[in-house]
Amino acid sequence: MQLKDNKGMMEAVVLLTANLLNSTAVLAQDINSAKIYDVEDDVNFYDEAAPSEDVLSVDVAVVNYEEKGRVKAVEPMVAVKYVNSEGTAFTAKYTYDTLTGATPNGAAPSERLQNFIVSSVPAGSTVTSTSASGRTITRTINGNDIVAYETQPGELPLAYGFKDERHSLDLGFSTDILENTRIALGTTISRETDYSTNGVRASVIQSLNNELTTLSLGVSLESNTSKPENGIPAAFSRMDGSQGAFESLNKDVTSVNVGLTQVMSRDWLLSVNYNYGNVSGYQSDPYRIVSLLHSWEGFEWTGYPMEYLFENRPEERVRHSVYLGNKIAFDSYVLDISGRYYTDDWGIDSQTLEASLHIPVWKSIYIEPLARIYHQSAADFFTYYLPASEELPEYASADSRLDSFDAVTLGLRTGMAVTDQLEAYMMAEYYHQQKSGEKGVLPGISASYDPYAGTDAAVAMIGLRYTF
Amino acid sequence: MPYLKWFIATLIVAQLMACTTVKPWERDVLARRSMSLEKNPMFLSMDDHVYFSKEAAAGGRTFDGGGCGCN
Amino acid sequence: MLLRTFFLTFVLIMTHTAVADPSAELASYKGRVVYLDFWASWCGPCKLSFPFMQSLVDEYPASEFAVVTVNLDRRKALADKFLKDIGGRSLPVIMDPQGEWAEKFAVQDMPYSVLIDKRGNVRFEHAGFHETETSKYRAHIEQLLAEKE
Repeated sequence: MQLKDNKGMMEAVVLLTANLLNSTAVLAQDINSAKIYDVEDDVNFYDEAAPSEDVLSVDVAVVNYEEKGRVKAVEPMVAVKYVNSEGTAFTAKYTYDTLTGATPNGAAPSERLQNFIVSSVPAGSTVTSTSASGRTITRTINGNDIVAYETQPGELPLAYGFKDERHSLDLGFSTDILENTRIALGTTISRETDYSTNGVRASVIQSLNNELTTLSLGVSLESNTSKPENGIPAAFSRMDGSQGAFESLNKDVTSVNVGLTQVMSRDWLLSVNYNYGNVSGYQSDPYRIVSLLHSWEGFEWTGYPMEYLFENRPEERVRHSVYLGNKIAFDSYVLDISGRYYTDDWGIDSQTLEASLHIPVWKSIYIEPLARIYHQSAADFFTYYLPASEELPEYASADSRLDSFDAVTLGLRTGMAVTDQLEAYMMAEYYHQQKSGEKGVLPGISASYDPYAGTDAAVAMIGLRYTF
Repeated sequence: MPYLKWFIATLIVAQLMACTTVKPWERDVLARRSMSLEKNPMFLSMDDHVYFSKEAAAGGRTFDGGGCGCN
Repeated sequence: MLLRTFFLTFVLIMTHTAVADPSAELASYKGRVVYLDFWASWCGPCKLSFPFMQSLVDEYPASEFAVVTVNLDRRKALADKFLKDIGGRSLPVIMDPQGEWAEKFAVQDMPYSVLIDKRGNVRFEHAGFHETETSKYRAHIEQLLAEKE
């Protein structure tokens, strides 16, 4: 060991002398043999550049999502990415989702036992319904294991036995069309038992300022079809188990994205993004109801559910969001800090702030703690119940996704280079959600129950990436 | 909050004005895996999915730009 | 261990202050066509350019043509690793961690190659490395080789 060190030092002296005398350019051979110290071992895998041309990588990962006492989902996915030597890239990603568990049905908790009827039509019978285009369709009912379900007094009504499967495929392509101009195209297809999505997207990316500035402009079009087995109920119709008025309904989403990425300094990358979205068509949840509660004051029945009416959301929605993100390097640490402001014409405003710190560990690992805080205001038509003493509003929904709430996410991500070509990664996050602002109050005897339907969730992911 | 929009706009302009010139051979830090906007696309898409199913807001980051700026 | 660190720092400082002056350095190549290539370990296309440059050295006579590379890594360890991974014929490497050579030759992209004729004048510049353009690079080299001194 000692002898080896001495020999190395001698070689270093030779190198040194050569440089001082400016005599010759240092030969690559010299660099390799004069490796006096194993400096190579000091470089963390994540400090190196990822291969960008002539690359084929395959990712296999699985996500486990759980909401306390509610929805559970397991989502395996496979993704492939190929970039040729000229930078043309092809991507493909397949995701499979299985969802089980219970989800709030929109009804308010009550002092009474509540009974919700899913279907009152026995299996084997034929029904007639109308599609959005006005066509009349006749079909035979397969039957469901669950015809009706109950909710105990005081509990938030949850629809059980809810099970769904989703297959989703995303394909992408991007290439340089001019020296500093790139185009990216993509398509997404998603199929669930009662829902399907077809989407296409295209964007142009322009590099300016010697690649210090990157401008992008993208458009995406998406068509969604909702086709529940029991049909789609008419707005505010009663939940009595009868077939929905419509066989299926559509929703179209158009979005435009304008992005700017700017190299601010050797260690700092800034991203700014503006997104415009226009959603048109059927946007209600065909399974969600709103409780029509007895609301005349001073009666024994005040606060009791009189009916359950299917919700109704507007057919138009325009939304805007602005995102600002920073990636700043300090030695081998990277701080990622970003914010987003969102607003739409349903009355929802939201602010998001997220920060994470990439921490290198030894030679091949990183850990990245992250924190995110989120706030949203409620939609104009959001309500916990409909008072029977008043006229029905134009729109109403009790979906917690449209409620006002604050959420905090705490998570930890990690990656590890098992070999130069195989990377393993994991992520665990906890999402805590709570009502923001004044709590909802139900009338009469129901006043003691909290109608807030949001809940915490825990997410975990584990994956592997192999780069050929 | 009418002033919020102006505040954000000013913040963006101030940030943009703070940039320095980085030479093409000085992009070593930006080329790192840890500085990539797409360090792990699987994590990002997972987050998007989770937040989309629980929150009303949508829209987020872009993935173009930064990096080594080669070729 | 401590002694090693001291030595490393010393060597690094000395290599920084002793970067050869480009015009003096290249003077020894006068009379030959020089393909001067600027690269760094973090540059993806550079991996593809090395086999190409190695093949050029095999193709054209050493008395007429030379490839000289300039490394712009700030950490020598990264350059070492890159060269070890590439393997093959070794090419001359000038360490330029401060980017002095890059400034002098006004490098516009990574990688960047500059073709210098037999008289020592810069005649062609190639921004980036594209496998689809190697015939163009060769054409430029051959044009300069055909010229008399």
